[in-house]
Amino acid sequence: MFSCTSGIITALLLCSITCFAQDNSKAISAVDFSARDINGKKVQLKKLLIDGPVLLDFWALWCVPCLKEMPELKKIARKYQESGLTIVAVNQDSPSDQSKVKPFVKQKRFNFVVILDEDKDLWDQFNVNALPTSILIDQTGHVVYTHVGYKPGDQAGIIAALEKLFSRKNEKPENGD
Amino acid sequence: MAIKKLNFLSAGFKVQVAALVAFACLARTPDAAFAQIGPGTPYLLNRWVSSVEPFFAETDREINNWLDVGYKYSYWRAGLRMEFHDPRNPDVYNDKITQRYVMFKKDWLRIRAGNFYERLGRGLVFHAFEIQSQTLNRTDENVAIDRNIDGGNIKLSFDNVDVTGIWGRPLKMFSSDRGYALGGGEVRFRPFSALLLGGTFLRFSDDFLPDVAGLERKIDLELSSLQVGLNLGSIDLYTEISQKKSTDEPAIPNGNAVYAAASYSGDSFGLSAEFKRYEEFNTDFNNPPALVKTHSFALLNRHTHSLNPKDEIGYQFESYFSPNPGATFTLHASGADNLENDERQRFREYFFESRNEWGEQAISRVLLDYSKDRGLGDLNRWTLASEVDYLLNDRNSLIFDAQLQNIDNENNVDGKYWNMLGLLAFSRSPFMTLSARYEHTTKARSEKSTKSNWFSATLNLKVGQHHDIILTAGSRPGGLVCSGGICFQVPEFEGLELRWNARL
Repeated sequence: MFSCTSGIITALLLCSITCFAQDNSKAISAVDFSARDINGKKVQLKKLLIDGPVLLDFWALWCVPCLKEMPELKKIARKYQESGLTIVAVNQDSPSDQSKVKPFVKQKRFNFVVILDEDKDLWDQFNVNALPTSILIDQTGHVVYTHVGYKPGDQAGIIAALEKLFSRKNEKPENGD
Repeated sequence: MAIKKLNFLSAGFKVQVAALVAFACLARTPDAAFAQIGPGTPYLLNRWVSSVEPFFAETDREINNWLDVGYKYSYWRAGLRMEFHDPRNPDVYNDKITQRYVMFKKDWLRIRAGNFYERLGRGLVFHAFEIQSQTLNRTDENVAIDRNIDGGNIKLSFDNVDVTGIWGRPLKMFSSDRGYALGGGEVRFRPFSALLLGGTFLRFSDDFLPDVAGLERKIDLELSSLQVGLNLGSIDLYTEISQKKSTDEPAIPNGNAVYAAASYSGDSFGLSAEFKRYEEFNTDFNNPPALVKTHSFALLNRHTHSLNPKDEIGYQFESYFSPNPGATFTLHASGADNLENDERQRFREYFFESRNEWGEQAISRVLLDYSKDRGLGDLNRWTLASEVDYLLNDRNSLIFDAQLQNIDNENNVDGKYWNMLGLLAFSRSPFMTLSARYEHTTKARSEKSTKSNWFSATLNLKVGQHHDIILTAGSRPGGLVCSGGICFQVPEFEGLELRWNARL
């Protein structure tokens, strides 16, 4: 009985947090990170943000929704390439599957920066708890959109967030004038 | 019973509620509240799994909750994890703060004190990790695998050199025991971008093992490895050799390990080839590459080879071929033998998968797999599986999943048996997925499990960007769940299950 009550209380508390936290994503600051890509080159978030926003995509080879999402991300990368968008695919495979990552990515011609998150540092830093997770970071280093999971059509949410971001960016100089 | 419950509440749940309240206060007013506390950001991750098995006794209901809560400010980050399990299992997980940490991270420096996970090299020498259970467990079994270390680590990351130092006490597998200490680190040097040279050293000390006379004795174990990696653009080579030295031979024998990988990455063709050789290389805190494929079809993942680093030699090949952007073919072969026993061909697996896009509306996957694994008693195992995604329009889609498996198992009374799985799901992006799943087996049933048919319906709801709610009603079979060559048993389930994943 106690446990049932306590469970309900926790649920209500979580619910209250949900209600209060609807727009908090605007204020969440993405701390800078540096990691090595599949070619051993160092990648730094701060440097990528100079060109434009960054979309982090946490994925693994065994994750079927991740593999369904990636071709859609490839289209998004192509569409917003000139606007400076960089897609960083953060791989979460175990040591057993790590050697397959680069051959898989290359043969699919994914135009992403691919990072092997070997020590789960980025998983931890961005509070990820499921795959796939997409996190859009604007040029000021703030997380502006987060999406967990993938169903066909979910890419529309990422596109809408990007459009909003770019329209805001285009509005600013005009307002400044 | 009531006293026990009361203690249980005071020990675990009240702390958790207090943290949630504190967090709720911090998060009350969007933007403005965060602005008041400067650039810092509170964060929260919550995994809630609750179930009721109405067909059994009242006690057959269960709540498991993992709450990660913390705060980021400038280059600092601090957090803790609270776990709440009812009924609890005091031998494995207690209802209390199970992890806490403080971390400083700026540019090339990262220092962390408290609980952490870490991997050195490819995990030959050391790998502290967590596998969050996807299937609800009973209290007489394990809720998840958690091997965090309580101690500290430091990372220096320069352009050409990465240095990692670790110290602390790790959790043993399936245990809350931290009865030994370890310390060591890794240096990885890239004299130029194509070449990686690395070295790892780790010392493990256990002061608490009693000797024959019952007196405590000290056991030291040293693990070291050398790594060489070469990146030639489309060709990558990597080798890691390792040795284990013990001060307590022959009780804990010396051992060695070799892991080698080569891969080719082309525009439409990719290939990876890997080799492993582990001799007396089992410890409580490493997780060398298993070279076993992590499958995406459920039936295949229930019968996966489990690595034995004490005595194993093996290989893994995998190739990808995409003749056009809409088609991908995958070929896989892997195997493992004992080094010393005559029991050759202990594990073999071959599979072929074809993934095709049919215009803009449909995607299909078809897989054929053959395997045999003496460790599991599988003399022959055939699996045929297919999945079709059909897009009704921009937002709505259907998934059909059918899997058929025939196993000839020497431990099964009737020898051969069949497993079948069928799934139908409807998704409406981005809010909802509704699915129905049916499983059937002809395997001889045991006292523990008499069912041969399982049916469940699941509703998955997305609430904003922060919450996923998954409600499952019905039954599902137990068995092995494997991930990255690590397998653990999960029990059969029948009832209602609610999962709530919150992420802020």
